[in-house]
Amino acid sequence: MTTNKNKKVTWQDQPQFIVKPRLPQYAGIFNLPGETCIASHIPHERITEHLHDHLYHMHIRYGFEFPRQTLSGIESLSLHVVMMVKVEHRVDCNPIFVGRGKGSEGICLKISGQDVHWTPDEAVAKIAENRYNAIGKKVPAGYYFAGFSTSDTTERKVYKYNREDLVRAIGNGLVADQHFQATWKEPIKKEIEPYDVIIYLGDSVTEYHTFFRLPVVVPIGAY
Amino acid sequence: MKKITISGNKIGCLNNPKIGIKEVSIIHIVNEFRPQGPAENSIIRVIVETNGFKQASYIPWVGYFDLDRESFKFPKRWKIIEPSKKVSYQNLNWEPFIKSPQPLP
Repeated sequence: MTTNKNKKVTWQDQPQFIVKPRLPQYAGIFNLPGETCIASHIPHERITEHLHDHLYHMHIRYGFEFPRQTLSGIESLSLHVVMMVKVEHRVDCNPIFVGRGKGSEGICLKISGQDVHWTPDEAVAKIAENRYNAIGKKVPAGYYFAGFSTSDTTERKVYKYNREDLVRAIGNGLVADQHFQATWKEPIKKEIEPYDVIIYLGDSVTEYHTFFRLPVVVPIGAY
Repeated sequence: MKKITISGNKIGCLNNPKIGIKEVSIIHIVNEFRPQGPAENSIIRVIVETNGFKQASYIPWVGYFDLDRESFKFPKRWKIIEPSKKVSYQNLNWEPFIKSPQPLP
């Protein structure tokens, strides 16, 4: 038995916020079939919450899970997501969906009483790149990390969710889908050839993070 | 090229455009103007030349954040109009997609 003075600190004593990637859960949102993470679309009709439906765009979609967790040591945090995309593309975020709505629409997750929004965050992109380098990987030429933090509804300021709001949203576990769209930085009349996208998930407080790859065609057994 | 009439909300404009250019504005299109014009909830760039020629194309911006970012990267380049101002343009040449990237006037 050890005294508090001599107690060895383990990783379980550190603040933790765990997120695990999954295959997408909700087929049909934005006309994406099941088990499809990457898909290129030409301009099409308006779909609520779908950014860039009027431009040539490439969907980037994954599922994720916030497993049941104590969130001990966390007072508030912002969520981070970073995507490795081609330099001639930009990425914009949609809300997080927790179900399929009418037609091709999704039903948005609300935390703290509001839809989850994202704002571009170059500092977060840098964190992801440093951690990517730390595991011996390099961003290949022609690609860059585009980073995002959760934001207020104007998408101009980072927003941190407090612990109670997170506990309320996660409960005994939360499974949801996240959608993004890559578009040409200068809109041109050309389809985006689909390519694999590396994703980083993390947060503003803990050291926990995860990298995973979204393949253009998902192999059996993925995730 | 199609000549159209559109309306929307002006959220920003370029300060001091080049000679021959009267105005470069960033417009949030609220209503649907397809197939003749821009899509609902799109953002376009309108360029008005001093000779009265008006042209517009899509840009991939999603709102004020992009203006914030451009203003940070290029101080004094943009004037941010907040709250936005309702505007309309007539006889606008609508070219939704540019053929190749071009520098701003």
